[in-house]
Amino acid sequence: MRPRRFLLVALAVAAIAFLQVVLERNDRTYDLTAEHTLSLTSETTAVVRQVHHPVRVTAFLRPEEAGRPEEAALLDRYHRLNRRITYRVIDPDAAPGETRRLDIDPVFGGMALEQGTRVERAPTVTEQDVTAGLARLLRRHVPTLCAATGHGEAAIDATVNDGLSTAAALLRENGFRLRAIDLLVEPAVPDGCDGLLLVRPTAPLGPAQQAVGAYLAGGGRAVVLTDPVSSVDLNPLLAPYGVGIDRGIVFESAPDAHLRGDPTSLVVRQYQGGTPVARGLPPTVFPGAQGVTSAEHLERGIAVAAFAQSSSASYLSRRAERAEFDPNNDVRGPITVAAAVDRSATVAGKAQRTRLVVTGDADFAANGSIGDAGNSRLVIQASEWVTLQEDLVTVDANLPTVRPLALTDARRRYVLFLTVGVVPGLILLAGVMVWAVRRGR
Amino acid sequence: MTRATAGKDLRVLWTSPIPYVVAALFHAVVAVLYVSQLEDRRQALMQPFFPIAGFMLVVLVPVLAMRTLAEEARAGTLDLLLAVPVATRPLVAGKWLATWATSLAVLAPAALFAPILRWFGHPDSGPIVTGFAGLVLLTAALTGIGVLASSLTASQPVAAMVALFVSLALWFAHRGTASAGVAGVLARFSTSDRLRSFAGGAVHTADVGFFVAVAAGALVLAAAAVDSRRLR
Repeated sequence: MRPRRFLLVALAVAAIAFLQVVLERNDRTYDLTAEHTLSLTSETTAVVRQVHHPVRVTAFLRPEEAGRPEEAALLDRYHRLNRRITYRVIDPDAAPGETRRLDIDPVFGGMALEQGTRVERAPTVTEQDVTAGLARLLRRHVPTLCAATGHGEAAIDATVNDGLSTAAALLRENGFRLRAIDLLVEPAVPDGCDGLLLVRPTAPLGPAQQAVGAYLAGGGRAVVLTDPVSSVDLNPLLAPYGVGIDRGIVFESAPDAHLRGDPTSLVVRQYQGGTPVARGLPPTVFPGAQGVTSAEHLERGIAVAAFAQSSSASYLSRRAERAEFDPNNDVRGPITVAAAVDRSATVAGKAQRTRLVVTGDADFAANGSIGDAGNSRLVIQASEWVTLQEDLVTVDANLPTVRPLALTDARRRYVLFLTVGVVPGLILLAGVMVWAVRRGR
Repeated sequence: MTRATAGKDLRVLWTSPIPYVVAALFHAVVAVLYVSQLEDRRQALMQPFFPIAGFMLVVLVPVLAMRTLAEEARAGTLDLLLAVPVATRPLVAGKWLATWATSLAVLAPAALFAPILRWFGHPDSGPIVTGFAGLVLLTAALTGIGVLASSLTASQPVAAMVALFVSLALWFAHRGTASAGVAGVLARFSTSDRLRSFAGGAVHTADVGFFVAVAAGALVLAAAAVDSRRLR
């Protein structure tokens, strides 16, 4: 080949390679899936856009792990959205030093997100975990939720069915610090508490009630989860904020609004009031709820959003043992089972903001039910909102719809007959016909 | 010139038994493997079909492309063609076009799976469209490699083996390099990785560009190889 021609060929190949490099660097993606499963959610996008300093994500995945390409592709989406986020996928067996430095379990793997000297960790490489990790890195202040104890409340370290250990782990994963405070021993909410968790006290609060009241009056925030099994009257505590508890248990008659065979396990699918607590919330399950009331006339500066309600076919029964409506005692639905209260006030020239989330059921957040539907998300969103962090939302990935295939044995045989027998057979027949025609000429 | 070459090659190809045998083999194997995947997953998904079909194309397209230039060189007709002032690029492009069209015709009956899936379930149509688009582009690149290999030798089996080796190397480029520093670079050459994106329902402009670049680069080199023969 002449040198000039060789040069032209080399130039042409180099130009093609250069164009490809340009395309790689300016890649655009078009997601044609019905549920946009290959795109990051709008919540993730909002969080990723807040990253203004370099973040390095290290995923510890073994080469043989089934989901490794998908997880790498997920991290690549974050990188494409914000180039300050870089990532690497390493084998924990091949890089024991990095595994130790980032405090990752070498057996189970996981993920570390580094920004400067700060490191956040997560157990899996999912959109929920990556975004939650980024949100924790972005958060300058780690909010502390103080869980009240001393009056028979559900405990944050209890692993039994009605305990809160799963909720506590979830809150920690979402960047909260949890602290148990004994209001029996020391009836005062400590200064370091950004929010109070009061879950199903079963013994009268006594002096603690006054302490919690004073905390709320001073601009405190609380998540109050009441339950029909508790006889403790929390109305004096809640009344100044325009809400109260209507004792009893809600029976649901609408078939799609309760779990099958259990009319007291409410399924709430739609939310009212436009509060951030219920923003984007999937259906939630309340296994045995009493009513949450709101005052007809609210004081100035108080807004109550009754965001979760039973259907109009439900009723609040005063006597749980009688599963039929008693017009003299029971209350017809819809019954509010969860409400969010926002009170703004100026005290001694200083603005104070009290926030409360009150539910008529505590079981939805307990170990036995927090995994149901959107219950865990409600716990997180309520905690985010009361601690004034509603911009850091919980994330649900765009998950694909399950598309079942009705492939019976007869259908399978038919498909195989068509695709393995008929189609190749017709193709071969066409070949034989062409051969025969040619031979005949 | 391109159209005339493509037309002549199409006639030659379709009067030989090769495309019929290749197509029958392709559909029988792909159908057996894909239906077994459907049985396992019980989901109306087309996604498992594309890597199976892609791998079969990696194996079979070199067979379709092996004769394009190698046969002409063996029979001496290529030297005859080059003795007259015929532009090389349209000649190579025509041969590529004929083989690509044949490969697509071989692939086409596989579209039957889409209505079958719709019959038994509710598949997502996005990944079906993008998956087939990925196969069309993969076929273009594989045909380019096949034509290039065919331009380098006068032996059809050698051309097929060279094309198969290169195509397999590109298919598995992402494998076995997990911890190496070159992993990222090699993975970018992986045709199976690129096809996986299409099969999932995403179209990356870089993936489209990659397949087009492989096909174009191979054709430029094939034209240069044919040209060098003219100058000998």
